Amino acid sequence: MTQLIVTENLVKFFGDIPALEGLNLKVPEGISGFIGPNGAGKTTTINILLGLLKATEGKAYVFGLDAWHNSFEIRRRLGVLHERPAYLGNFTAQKYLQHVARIYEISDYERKSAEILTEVGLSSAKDKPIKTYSAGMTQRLGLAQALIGDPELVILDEPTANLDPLGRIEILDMIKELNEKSGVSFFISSHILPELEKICRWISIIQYGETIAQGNMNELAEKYSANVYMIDVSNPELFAEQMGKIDNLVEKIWIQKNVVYCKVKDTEKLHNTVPKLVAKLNLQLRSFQPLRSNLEEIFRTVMEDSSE
Amino acid sequence: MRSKSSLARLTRLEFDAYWGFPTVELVVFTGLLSVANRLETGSGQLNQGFYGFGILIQILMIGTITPRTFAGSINRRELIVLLSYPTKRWKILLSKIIVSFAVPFIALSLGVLLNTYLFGASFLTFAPYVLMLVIAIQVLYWCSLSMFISIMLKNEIVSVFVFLLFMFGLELSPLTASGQFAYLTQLRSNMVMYGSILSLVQGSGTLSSDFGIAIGFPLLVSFALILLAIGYFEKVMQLD
Repeated sequence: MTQLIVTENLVKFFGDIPALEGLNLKVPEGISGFIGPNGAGKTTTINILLGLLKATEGKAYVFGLDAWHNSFEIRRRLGVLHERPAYLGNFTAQKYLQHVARIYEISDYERKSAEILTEVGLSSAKDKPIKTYSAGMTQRLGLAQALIGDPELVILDEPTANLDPLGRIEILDMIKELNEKSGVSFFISSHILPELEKICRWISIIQYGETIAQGNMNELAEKYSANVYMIDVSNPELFAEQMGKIDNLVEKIWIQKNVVYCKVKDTEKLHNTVPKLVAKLNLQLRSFQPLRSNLEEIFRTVMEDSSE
Repeated sequence: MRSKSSLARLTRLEFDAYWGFPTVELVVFTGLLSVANRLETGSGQLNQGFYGFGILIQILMIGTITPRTFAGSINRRELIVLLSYPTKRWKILLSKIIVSFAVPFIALSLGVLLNTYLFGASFLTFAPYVLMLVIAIQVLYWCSLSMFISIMLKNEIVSVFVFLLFMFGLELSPLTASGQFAYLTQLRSNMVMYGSILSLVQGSGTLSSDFGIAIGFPLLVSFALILLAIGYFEKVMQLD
């Protein structure tokens, strides 16, 4: 798997204040999520990757190139949507994008900017000055300018912030489509975890400037699942009562909508016990599976683990 | 096909961005002010409109425009967006310096031409063009100083105040009164520059020793400041 972004023991201090303390990231191709609480160092990391900040220690690579020394080469191949971006307000979106397209040396800049504006849903407002745009429209323009150079990788810092629900769905669909059709990779920093969960294959979680978890979404779900199993049997009350009597098997057991849920102490023992118990009680086992954690649960578990 | 260099494109972007600022009004105001200033002093000298109160306006104009172009673009988060595009940092800075220089220079040159026309001077003599050259040197000097301060401080409002304090502080200092900083602040060198260059191009009179100080010194300082600013912005400056 090709790694688009790699950081090795990345450290960044602002004066005496540490922002990153040995960050180790590995971000593959595809759509990746970058999450962490406020002040975890996400924006600092992005700015180091763009060559806007120089790391105090450690290395940051994008496309295998050093982020500080090869910043220009890197920026030719990626697009960025910053958090709280500002664009020269007296320009119209069309004129601004044409300027950006020319910076990317796109010869057919008029056609390209018109295409992108349509894609992000701004074609009807293309002739209005940017300063008259709503926050959502400015965000769409941000996406447009990030995509105009046909980048291999797009870094998005809070891309759906300020967007209405419909706008969010459209943007997420667009990201997914661009990845599937054109192979564009995305590195998305966001606090809206259910959205990331829908589109990301890879997740990196940071806290206090350190990587505390990263990996494939399924691997993380498995690793940080709260060990909760769902057992659908013909007599849930009887089954739950008998299970609860077995030593060191479950921490907690409950019934919800006629299905037994249990937080397990020993998963191996559970896998051996359930079929035996079902047979012993002469019940019908309809389903027996672990409850997959969603990203919010993973995030909460990872945060709790790291603070212990 | 590359029709324009990226520096030209960036400069165009900066120029276009300037139309949000009341540039046309500024140009007209400056022209009228220089005329009014000359009328008030009642001098027959073409460069009279650019002394005293005229100089004060020029310093205020440059002292506010240049920090707006650079430090202001950091504060408004426009620069961080610009730096994320495939552009060389030095080109971004140079485009900002070009525009910060060009707008006041155009405004002041209009004042010179307006003075020439209204006071019945000839456009076929050296005088108006020498005065424009003097203004170009002055504007370049103030601009480079203000840009350097902006880069070091990264804050628009503070940069404006520091530049003004620097200019007026030096001007009012006892050392300036005794001539030590007369050329550094440039408040007094306009007349020397104008006289020296005019003497040179007209071939009349001896080239004053002030010529070197009045012209060489501000040019040298300007280019040194621009080089330092570019070096710092390219290699050292970090933006968050």
